Amino acid sequence: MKNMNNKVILTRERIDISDVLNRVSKSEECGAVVMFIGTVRGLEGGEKVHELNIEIDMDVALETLQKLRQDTIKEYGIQDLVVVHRYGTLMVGDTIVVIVVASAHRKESFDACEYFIDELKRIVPIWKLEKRENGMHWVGSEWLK
Amino acid sequence: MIKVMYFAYLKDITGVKEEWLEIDGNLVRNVLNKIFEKYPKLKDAPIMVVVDKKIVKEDEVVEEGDEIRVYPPVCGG
Repeated sequence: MKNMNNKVILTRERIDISDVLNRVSKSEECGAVVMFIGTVRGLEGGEKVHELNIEIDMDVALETLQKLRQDTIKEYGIQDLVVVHRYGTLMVGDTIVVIVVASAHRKESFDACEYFIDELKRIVPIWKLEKRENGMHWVGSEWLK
Repeated sequence: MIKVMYFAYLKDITGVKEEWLEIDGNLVRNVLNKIFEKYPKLKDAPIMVVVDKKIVKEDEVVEEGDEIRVYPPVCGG
């Protein structure tokens, strides 16, 4: 995570939120910075979750996120967007994803941030395997039943 | 022959991470039909197909030697 020009990062390491914030480029016109932090829930559908394992199809995820970032910047007229997403084994309360958006005014940042996380959840090849008290559960696999 | 790669829990269903399949036809739909025939549990599954790092539709063309990535519904974030 050292290269500060990196705006899209997939990492096994714990996310340092201030590092993500420092990666955002802001001009003098920038008056709004919005951050979204996604964390591991300890309770899912009434069941206790002990651990979360995140699997990523790395090459495709990276390229999809880079394109999504470019499209979001263009579509919402924001100044910058940085996203860091974890993979591997996470514990309850750990940060899964951080998205930081900078823009002249808050509305563009809020809207862009919401659009970005919605699209990330829709098209980026990332999957979650929860270790629950009653066994393992792949998130989104309900269609198999 | 087409190389098909399975991700997340699809690997548990197919029992393999990847395999080469002989396809009748040259459309993504034909690949899917072959997969459904081989693994009936996946029939009508909401799976996503990616070729050359792009999501493709069922009526798009695949070529000999292509790598097809088959995803279950994604859920990042």
